[in-house]
Amino acid sequence: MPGTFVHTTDFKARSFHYRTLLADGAHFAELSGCAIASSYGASIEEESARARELGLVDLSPLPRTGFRGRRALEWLKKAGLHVGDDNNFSWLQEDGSILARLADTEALLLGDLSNNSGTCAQLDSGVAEEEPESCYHVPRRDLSAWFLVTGALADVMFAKLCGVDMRRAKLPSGMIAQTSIARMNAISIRSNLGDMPAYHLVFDSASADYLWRALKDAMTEFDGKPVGYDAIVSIART
Amino acid sequence: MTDTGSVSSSGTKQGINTQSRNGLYINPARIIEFYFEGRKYQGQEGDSIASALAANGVWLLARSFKYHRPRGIRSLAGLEADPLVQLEHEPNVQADSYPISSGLKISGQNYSGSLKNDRQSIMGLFGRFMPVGFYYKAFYRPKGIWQKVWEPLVRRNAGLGKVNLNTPHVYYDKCYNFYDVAVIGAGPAGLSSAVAAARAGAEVLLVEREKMVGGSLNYCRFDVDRKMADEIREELLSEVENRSNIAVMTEATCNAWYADNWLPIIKGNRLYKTRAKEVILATGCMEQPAVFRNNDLPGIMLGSGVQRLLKLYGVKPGKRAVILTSNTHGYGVALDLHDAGVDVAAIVDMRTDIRDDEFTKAARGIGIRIEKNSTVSEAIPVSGDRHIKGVCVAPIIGQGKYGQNGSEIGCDLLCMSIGYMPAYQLALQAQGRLEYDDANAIFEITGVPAHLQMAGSADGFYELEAVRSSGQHAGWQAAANLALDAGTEPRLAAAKGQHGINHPWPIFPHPKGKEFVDLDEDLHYADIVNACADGYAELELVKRYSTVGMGPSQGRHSAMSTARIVALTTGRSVSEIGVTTARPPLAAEKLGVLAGRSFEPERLTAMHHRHLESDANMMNVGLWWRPAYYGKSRHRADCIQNEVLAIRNNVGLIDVSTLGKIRVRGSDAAEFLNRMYTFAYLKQPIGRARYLLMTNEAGTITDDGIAVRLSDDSFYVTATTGGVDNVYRAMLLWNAQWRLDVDIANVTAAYAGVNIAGPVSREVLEKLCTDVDLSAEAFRANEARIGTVAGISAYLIRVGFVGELSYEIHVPASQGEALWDSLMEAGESHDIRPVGIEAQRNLRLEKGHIIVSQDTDAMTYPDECGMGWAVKFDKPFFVGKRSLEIRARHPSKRKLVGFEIKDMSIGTPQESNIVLHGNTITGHVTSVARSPVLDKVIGMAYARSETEPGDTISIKLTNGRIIDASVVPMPFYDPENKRQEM
Repeated sequence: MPGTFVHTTDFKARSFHYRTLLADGAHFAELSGCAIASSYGASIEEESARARELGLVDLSPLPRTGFRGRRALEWLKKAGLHVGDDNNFSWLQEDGSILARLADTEALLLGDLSNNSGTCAQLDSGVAEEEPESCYHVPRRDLSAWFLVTGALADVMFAKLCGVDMRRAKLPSGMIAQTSIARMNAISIRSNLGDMPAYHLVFDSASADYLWRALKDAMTEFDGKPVGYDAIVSIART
Repeated sequence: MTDTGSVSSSGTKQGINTQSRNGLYINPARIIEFYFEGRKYQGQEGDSIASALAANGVWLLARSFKYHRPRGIRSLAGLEADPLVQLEHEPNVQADSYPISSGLKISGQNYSGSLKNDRQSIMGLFGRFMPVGFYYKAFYRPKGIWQKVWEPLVRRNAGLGKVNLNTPHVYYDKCYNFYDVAVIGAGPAGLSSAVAAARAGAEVLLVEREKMVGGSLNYCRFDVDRKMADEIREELLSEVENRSNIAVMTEATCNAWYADNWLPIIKGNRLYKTRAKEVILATGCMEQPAVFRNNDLPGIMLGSGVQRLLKLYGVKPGKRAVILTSNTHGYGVALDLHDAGVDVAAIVDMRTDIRDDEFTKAARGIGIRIEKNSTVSEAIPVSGDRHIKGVCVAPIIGQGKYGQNGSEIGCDLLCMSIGYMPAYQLALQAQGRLEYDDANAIFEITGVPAHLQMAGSADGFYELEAVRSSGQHAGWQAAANLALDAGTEPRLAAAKGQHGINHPWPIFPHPKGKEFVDLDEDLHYADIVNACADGYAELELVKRYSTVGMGPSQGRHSAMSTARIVALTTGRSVSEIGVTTARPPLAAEKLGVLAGRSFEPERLTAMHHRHLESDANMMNVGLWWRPAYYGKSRHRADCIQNEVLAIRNNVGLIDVSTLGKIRVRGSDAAEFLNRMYTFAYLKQPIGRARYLLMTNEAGTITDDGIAVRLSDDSFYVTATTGGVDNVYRAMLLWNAQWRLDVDIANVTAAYAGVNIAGPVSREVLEKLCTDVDLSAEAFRANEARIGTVAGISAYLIRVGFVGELSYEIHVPASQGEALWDSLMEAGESHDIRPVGIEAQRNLRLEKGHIIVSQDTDAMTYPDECGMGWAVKFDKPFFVGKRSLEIRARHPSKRKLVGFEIKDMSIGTPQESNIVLHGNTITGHVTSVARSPVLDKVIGMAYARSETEPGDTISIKLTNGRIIDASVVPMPFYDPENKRQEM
């Protein structure tokens, strides 16, 4: 978990819309050479409770990576990751990372929420060194922003933004919807944190500011608010 | 015989103590004050505008469209246009359903002077001068009178309410819904359907337009003791409430049916885009009015409207009532009125043979006078027509005919219960058909598609038990279609109860007219007959000629009467006439609802806020925001000039993050580029950047960029900001056919990019980049390197778009702002300036570089714009090659030329100004700017293909003036390219 509060510009790598987060009252802490919005001024307990209702978290500073190509899935399996047979499904790995199979030729790996695993970095360096045939790196860390939408009301809120039925029974944990959210192409990965519904959104990093505002607007009706990273890690650990 | 009774002649002084009311919708404990026509009134929480005004004895709500006749409430179900009122910020509000709120200001519509004393009610006297279709026959003679007299007059008087242009913004949005079964209408049939489907496990959405579910169970009298409805209502509501798989949406309108059961449901300011696997239409039926003289006046209501007023709002609709009926429902209305303390003067029953059922016995039992085989031939108005004071009752002597030996009955309320029409609109939108049952004089819906069920009175079931069984069956059928365990098929009632519901001809023309068929459009009986007489025999033509059914109520109360009159007039059956097409929307919908919350994605570069902090004027380029120039807009020209000079003389920094970026990797990567682009890439050395020009199959230029070869099988490709998505799509499409071993990834957002340019750029960059030899000898133009800048991993590319020594630096997007900061800091001592795209465009113009889609159009091919050098015809194939070979045999009549204007006092062209050769347009100006370096106006334009440097072209300025410009060779600046190669 991040420690002391820091300034976002203390680091070369910066969240794609850190000014908006600052305007929302975010407090930042260091996480792997980047500043992450660790809280929004409330206690972990309060923000955890908020997350259980409806919360929005910026996880963009966390590691993630992607691979494409005819043999990408094969290479990931060789690297020890569990890759199932179905497209548009994801699997929680032993280290807490999530491997999302987007197509027969593409996968996305979201690093574990606690940032203890170095899987993403290992795979990135592995593919650079090995240069495996027909397996190509996708720079997801910069190509895509990563938000997490949490809470019991998340599916109802998504109904205002997305034409895919995101309700729990229709999009069970693990399932992926590659769809349009607020007219923005996005990968939505349902991966509950314990019993708390949670949706990982991975989308165009240049649109992070736009989608953050669109999500917040849609959440207002349900009193949903931004939640800091600390609260999410706390929930993930329990 | 005259029975005047004891009725207030004004008809507007029947104030009822609002504290004493008791209705299903209202809360007597909460009094609400509101204003109508500037006067304060009190209502109760839950009151609609109409009910609250009725409780205060106000029956006159609006004026009619053409004759400005007084109008009031009729159905209290939002079916007609009469109760449309004006709010402060909204016109045409349905007073029937719009709730009162504290301080709400309401006024009537469509009057001149006051609602009570409308000066334009004089229009009624000129009715005979406004026959059906008069506007097709009038207004055009003598010549010019339309523009001078009639149009201003018609415009002044057209429309109903007034739009308030100062209305504050209101938040509207949209939402998606998904259900197994959507049941439209929550009356006894809808409730039964929902319960049946839910019992089988379906996820059900129940949509109800009213504020409570129950439909007719909430107000209608199904038995003399008034017990049956309450018992069934309680039973059904209890189950609906207890079933978690039934979602109830009240005060919601399903406004259309679209293919595959797509339903737009409007609730408040939100549009629910609902998709249901099965749809059940339990939309009920619409009670119909009778047609007789003065049938439009306040005080004349439908029987069901009276029952709504009594039971939902606890308002007595009058003091003394007459019931015009042809079925038992009218007797139920009479009993309800009697129970409410209203003096029921008479039941005028149009039937000759009245069944002696429990309702008839009960009516007789309490002494109500029953006039059989009779009709109301005319309503008698009070002075000013603002209410009725009585009716003329006469014996029926034939279809649509009555005897002269009638009588007058004094009353302030006339209730009509003479028949029903199924609420057919949604079913007909779903390709259902409306067929007329001649035996029962009733319309029935047939032919609805699979996965859509009809239920209840919409399906022709009228007895309550039959309605329930119909609903149960529809719910069962929907569940069965979903392959749910729906149990045994329920039995439908043997008798639907439709016999005797409708009177076959409740239409009684009067010698003096004003027997209205369509109240929205003030069309009376003779208008429909005359439309047929004018030769419009088909209903759709009658509709267009007379405007019947084209008002806000869309024929809900006029379609049946019109069909009957047209049938009679043209000698055909009602079945042959039918009704007009039902199209979405079902009810009026606000533009705000359709627009919803507007999602307008926008993309920001990593340096976006640095631009804002530097006082940049931002502009949209596609979804991106880019800095046009830095500084105050009033100093725009100076700002751009200074930015141009910074790069020409010193150093400038341009954010080029928005450039498209595509990774092309795989053993066939070079072959792939060789096919996609016109230039040659098979032998492109690693570490070199090469220009890309893309054409489509027609040989038209579609994009350009550069390709950097990173390894034998890996390229980093750039594309234009606006073109990258199309380029990426084209690449995927072509390779789906070619099946080359190549992976194509659009990585535009992954990299931030800057172009540091100017003679001092190397000096600045050397401060931050130590692992790449930046010297002119080691890192030449059109070469690329991988290194670090300010500690950030970067691609460095020497490109010359602006015609100076320059480096494009591409870094991970998350570190783009840090790169910008570092370069600005490193360049501070060299007075580095941020440079926007306006200056960049000028710089490239000086170099004669084209911008695809600005200097090219949908027909431009490479030779036309001087790009022939970038086409390698010796390749076996590239997209567009064959077309270009054909085009080469048919030389173009135009070409892109450079021009200059040294004497700037003669005027400066603008982009898109046309180029003339004599009187012939030969092209247009594509780019133009004043060059601060060259101190003249320079530009590019399409001119005749014969045009050569030294010629003159004529350009027609925006103000129409024609000036001459000298054609000169391009580039305008540094033709030897020495500066970008330094």
